[in-house]
Amino acid sequence: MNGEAVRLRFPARPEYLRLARLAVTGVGERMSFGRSDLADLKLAVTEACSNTVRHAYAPGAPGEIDLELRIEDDRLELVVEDRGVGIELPVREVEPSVEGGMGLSIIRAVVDELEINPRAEGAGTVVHMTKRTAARDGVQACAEPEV
Amino acid sequence: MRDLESSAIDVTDFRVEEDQPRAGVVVVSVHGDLDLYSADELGDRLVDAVERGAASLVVDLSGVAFVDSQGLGALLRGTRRLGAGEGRLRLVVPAPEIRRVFEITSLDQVFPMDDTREQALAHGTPENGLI
Repeated sequence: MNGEAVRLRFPARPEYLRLARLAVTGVGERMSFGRSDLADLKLAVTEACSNTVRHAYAPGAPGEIDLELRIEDDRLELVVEDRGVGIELPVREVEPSVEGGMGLSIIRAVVDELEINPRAEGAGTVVHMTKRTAARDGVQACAEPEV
Repeated sequence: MRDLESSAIDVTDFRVEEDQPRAGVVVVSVHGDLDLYSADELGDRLVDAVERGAASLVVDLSGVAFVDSQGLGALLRGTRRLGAGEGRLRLVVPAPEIRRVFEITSLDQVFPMDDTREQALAHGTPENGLI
């Protein structure tokens, strides 16, 4: 699987967030992420895509999200990309108690690395998240069925 | 790249059910994924329950497989609409994966949580109705 990638392009609409979760769960299970890490992956991809749905494109304007899941020996890289209006950088942390401001805090808590940058060419934003498969707390991650 | 523009994604399994085990107390049971797609529906139902006279709410998340920040926002709407009073909105959250989202955001300090509906209904004071 090392070096393989799964790519999805879907409309930036709330009803497609579940599709992103299904994709990352399928890839994560193949990589033998444990149940807790699978939950983290679903949270991370949902928060990143949800942010794009809410902020990347003008209200009512069509837009798409590109989701890429890059499988490496020791990690899964999740890349969420849009071609919207972009975000103000650097991203400002918001009090967790403020609705809508919790997403970034959640992502930072559940992935090992997070980078948010403007697209290299044209408008849009790239959210790059990394989740490592390495053993944590002395316990090797193992595949568990999703409940 | 696969284009899913025309594909139908089944998100219809989200539903919210209400029960009133005693006067002033409404139990709201949530089923499905709680995210941007469904959060407004839950928030609206919580606010509506309060406006119809609920003094306290138990939100049962036993049937929820996923919660994100938008789902947390819906619960905050409900607790704000209830106003001051500790324990007026209790959550039933048996799954550790769901409970972890509250812990990450420190909202486990805002929402009292129980493992079962019976435990949630056993808490409370005469003032908030959860007795």
